[in-house]
Amino acid sequence: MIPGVFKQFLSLPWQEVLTWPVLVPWLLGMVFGVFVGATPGLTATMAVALIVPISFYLEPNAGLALIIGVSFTAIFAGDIPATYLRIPGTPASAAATLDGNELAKQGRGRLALVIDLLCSCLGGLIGVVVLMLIARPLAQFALFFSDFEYFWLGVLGLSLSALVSRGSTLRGLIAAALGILISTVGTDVMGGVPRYTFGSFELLDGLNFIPVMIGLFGFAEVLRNVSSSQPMATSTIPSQETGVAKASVQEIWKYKWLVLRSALLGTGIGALPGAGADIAAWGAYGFAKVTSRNPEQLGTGAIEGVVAPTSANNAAVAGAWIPALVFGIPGDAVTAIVLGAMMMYNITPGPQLFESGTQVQAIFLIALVTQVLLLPAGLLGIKAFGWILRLPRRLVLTAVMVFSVVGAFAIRNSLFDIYVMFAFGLIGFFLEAKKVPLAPVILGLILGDLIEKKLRAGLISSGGDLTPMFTRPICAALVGLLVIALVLVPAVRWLRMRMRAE
Amino acid sequence: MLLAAGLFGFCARDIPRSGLAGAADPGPRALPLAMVMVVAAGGLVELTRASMLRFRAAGAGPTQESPDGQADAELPAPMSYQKFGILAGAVLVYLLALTWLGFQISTVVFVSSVLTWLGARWWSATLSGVVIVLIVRILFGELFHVQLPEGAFGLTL
Repeated sequence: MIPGVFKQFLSLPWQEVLTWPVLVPWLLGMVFGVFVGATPGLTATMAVALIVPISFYLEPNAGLALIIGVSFTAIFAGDIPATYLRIPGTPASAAATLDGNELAKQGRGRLALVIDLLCSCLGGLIGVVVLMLIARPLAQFALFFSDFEYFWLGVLGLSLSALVSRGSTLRGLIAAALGILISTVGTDVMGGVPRYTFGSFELLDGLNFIPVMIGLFGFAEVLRNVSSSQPMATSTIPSQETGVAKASVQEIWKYKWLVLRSALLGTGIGALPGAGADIAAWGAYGFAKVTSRNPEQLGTGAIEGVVAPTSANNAAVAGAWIPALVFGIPGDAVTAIVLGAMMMYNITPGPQLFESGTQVQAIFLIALVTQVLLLPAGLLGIKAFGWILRLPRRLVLTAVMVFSVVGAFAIRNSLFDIYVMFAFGLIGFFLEAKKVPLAPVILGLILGDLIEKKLRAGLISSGGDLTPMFTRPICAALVGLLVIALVLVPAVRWLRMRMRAE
Repeated sequence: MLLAAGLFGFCARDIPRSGLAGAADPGPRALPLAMVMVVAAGGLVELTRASMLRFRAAGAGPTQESPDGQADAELPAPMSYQKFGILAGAVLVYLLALTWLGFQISTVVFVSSVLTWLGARWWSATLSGVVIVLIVRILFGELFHVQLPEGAFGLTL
């Protein structure tokens, strides 16, 4: 396997890609990706969509470098406000909010972000190496997934989110069910029937994910902070961190297997069409919690809680390229836009792309070097946002409110989305006050559509027969994992607690 | 939770029962109803648990464990619902003002009012409001070409 990577590495078109006309827009694009990704409400998809028209003025390699650079950087940059302000910059950063923000509250925000950055680079590198090695076989495996497999994958993802949330698993499951309920608002995915729309035109499209996420995580946090008895004149997060670089490397070395595991999981999930970096991050977080020796510490500022999702989300971006390049099936919205741009360059994704070789090798090289360039671009982003720490809390909280409003509005230039953000801010405040975790609500909202669509499509194609849902090999494996996650893991945890108590 | 389940359950009456392919398709109402049941059942279990704990606590003094097994020490800091109400009200007024006064004027007024309420001096609060508007204007308006609300009167700074 290693000689294979080395051989591929040497055969990459270094001289064609590492030229100034390619490097300059590439680096500028990455700085742009940092700012868009770190701006709440602006997603990585939006960053890529904004940059694509500019890329057409460049030669193909420079254009591809620009787009690939932006997509990876924006995913990492979303973790910066997630850590400092508890507002995920992109949906893929929501999982990193849990422990990253807790670490920031403890005055270890920079450490969390440098670990996050290194994990993003490593996760991305692992993802790209996997992309180079097993692009074809993995994409072929994903093709074996029928509707029922996707249904179980969605249910498994949701159950993991309930397990990973702090406190009661039951409340996590209720929150996940509530998230699915919220996802049913709008036009029915299968038959076009309006549900819970109350005659509102805006609700026909359903509730947009971004305003809901900004409300639940950002605005609710501001309400909670202002309503608490903490002083408002002091800085947001006490931080005078020193020796961050050394400590980050030590922590990553300590969790090296978690980085590798999460990156591989992220790549695998990213390769499944429809399952993007957000699901990969949650999946890796859940897996880290299930396999952790101290699962109760995740969610309270554990380094593992930063390492797992951040290694997975950038790896998923690379993973999404697997079906995109081999079959022309985009793994997520970002790759869908990139595929469109590739067509404009007369690059047709599919098996023939691998036959000619040159262009696909250039893409591999650009994706690899992007992970290295992510380090300086990411450090710049962390430094630029560090000034927030020196401002009084009241100013930061008020600015977050304004940014939450603008972020919610910016998605569709819709005032309705601002009201949605506000409503979910209030809902988030009360849910947190009653110790109901918010993360499963978000995941329920993301996966609700997929779960319903796949279940109904599967049942229609099987003529209403439920047997294939359990007897198909991959389904059976996923059901087995579900049983382990929902029955065996809590049982083992309960036994451990009993033994400790005795 | 029970309230949410009740609301969603009640409104689900308007959703048609039958789906695309007759009996094979569970239809558009099935998933919302199933989730309503999960939320309601979970809510009832939580309510029963909390009531039992309260009942026990009343008989045996304060407990060390919350219903989910977390220590009481993990409970969040005390909240001021009055402050929450004032802030939520201020934000609602700000959102309504966006439609009429536009982003720039309403944001400066909102930021300066909230900051003054939170203890800042009036001139520093107003200056902060102007700076925040400028940053948003440059970042979203100029760089990302987001058309910020101009309001019914089209007022700008």
